[in-house]
Amino acid sequence: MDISRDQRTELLASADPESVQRLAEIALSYAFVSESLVVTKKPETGLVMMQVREPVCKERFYLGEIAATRAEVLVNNEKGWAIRLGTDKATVLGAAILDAICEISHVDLSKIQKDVEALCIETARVESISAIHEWNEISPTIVNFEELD
Amino acid sequence: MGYAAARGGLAAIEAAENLVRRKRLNADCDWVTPDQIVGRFRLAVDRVMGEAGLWEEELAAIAIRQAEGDLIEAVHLLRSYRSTLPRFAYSEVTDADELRVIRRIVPAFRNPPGPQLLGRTSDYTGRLLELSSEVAGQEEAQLLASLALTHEQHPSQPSSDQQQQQPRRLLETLREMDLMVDRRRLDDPDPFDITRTPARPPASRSARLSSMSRAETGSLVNQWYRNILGPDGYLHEVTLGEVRHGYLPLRIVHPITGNPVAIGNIRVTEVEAIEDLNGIEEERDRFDVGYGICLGHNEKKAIAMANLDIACHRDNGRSQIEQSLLLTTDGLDSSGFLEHLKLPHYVTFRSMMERKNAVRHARKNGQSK
Repeated sequence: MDISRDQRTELLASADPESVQRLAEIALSYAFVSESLVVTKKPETGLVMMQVREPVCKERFYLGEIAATRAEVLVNNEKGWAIRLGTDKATVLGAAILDAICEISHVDLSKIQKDVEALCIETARVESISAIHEWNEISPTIVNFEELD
Repeated sequence: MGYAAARGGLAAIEAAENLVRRKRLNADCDWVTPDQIVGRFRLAVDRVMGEAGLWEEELAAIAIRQAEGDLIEAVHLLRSYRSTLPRFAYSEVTDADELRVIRRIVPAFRNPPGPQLLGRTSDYTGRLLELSSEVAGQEEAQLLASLALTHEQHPSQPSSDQQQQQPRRLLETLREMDLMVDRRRLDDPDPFDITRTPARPPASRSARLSSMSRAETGSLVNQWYRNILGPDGYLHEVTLGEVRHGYLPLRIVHPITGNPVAIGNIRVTEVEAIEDLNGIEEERDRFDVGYGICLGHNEKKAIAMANLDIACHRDNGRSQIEQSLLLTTDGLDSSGFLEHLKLPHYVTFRSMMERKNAVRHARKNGQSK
């Protein structure tokens, strides 16, 4: 499975925090990674205003703001960027490093690049199973009320 | 503003604040973690996030704990925190039709497109205080967990589930039956941002929707209850088309690729309220519909909002309903003004007493002349 950069961003946004940080630590154990790392935008929590189109008049409006944390790095002159909902700065920094790592062509990084891809695939699998479990729990509540004569 | 500042009393103020903190942090019971608050008091957490206009469950839980359960105070804390954060972006537009439902009922129609999905509700059962022991409660929890595991062993059918999880709206069916006034706009005006500029009447509908989606729940319910009298002064029909709880994707533009990326799902409650048009200038052979949506699971608020949305549209500025909605339903505004009444008003009140005495003296002097 080839994962595009956009898909990777989406999946690292919801991947298990410990796994993201563990992989980022492994990446940083490579000297050329840790020595070339520049945190161009340190992890920062901020707001995304959610824009919704409602169904009655098909008008856009602002529903409310969502707290998110983002970071941007340079590794070996490749840019890495990540954002996650919430306030977890350590994980988002790790995700940004992993994003950059996956853009670098270097034979030493092929193992960790595969590990990042495996984490993304596992994240997608967990999300899918979680959605199925949730539906299995609620689908028995589908009802057909009868009308009284 | 009718009060003057006082000064001094710093030691007492610090002692009072310390008392609050000491009693809160050293309550004679177990410490409560944000996870526990999110897990056990989900509706309180959702309400606080909705009224703060900020989605972040853990922060809302921390605010509830710090406010010792005072939800309006928790909203205050969360809004204050929000004001310290930078705005990263406006999201890409999410169409409400993308909602993946975990609860969906259509009170108006027995066989709507898609399922009547009760979901997690106690709407149809008695509301009795459960006084069972802790042990009995834990035993029941284990039993219910094992039953849930049994359900999970039967995999679902993804293709049919997709249609059931994103059902068509009753609104679409009524449009096809030509029973609905069509108010769909062909233009696409930019939404009003109430976090940058306060909304004042006459306001755009986007400003009203944003204001109501972060209004205080009780206030909105009260406004709705006051306003269910229709334009002709009689109690009018209130029928709900859709009540939905589910997930909407949040997308932003990736700064490197330039493409939209989904960075998470936000739970919302969404309601459509069908209005029986009966005004002289209205299309009396059709219905109209109002829309309500808010962060989290808060059906009372979304129902009130949907009814008030259509009430505002029908009212068209004739009464004070829009002004009332925009200026009096924000919990932080109203409770902030109320709370300030507890601050020292010595100077104000002394001047009021002096005026009373002046009136009395003037009256006496007038009588003696």
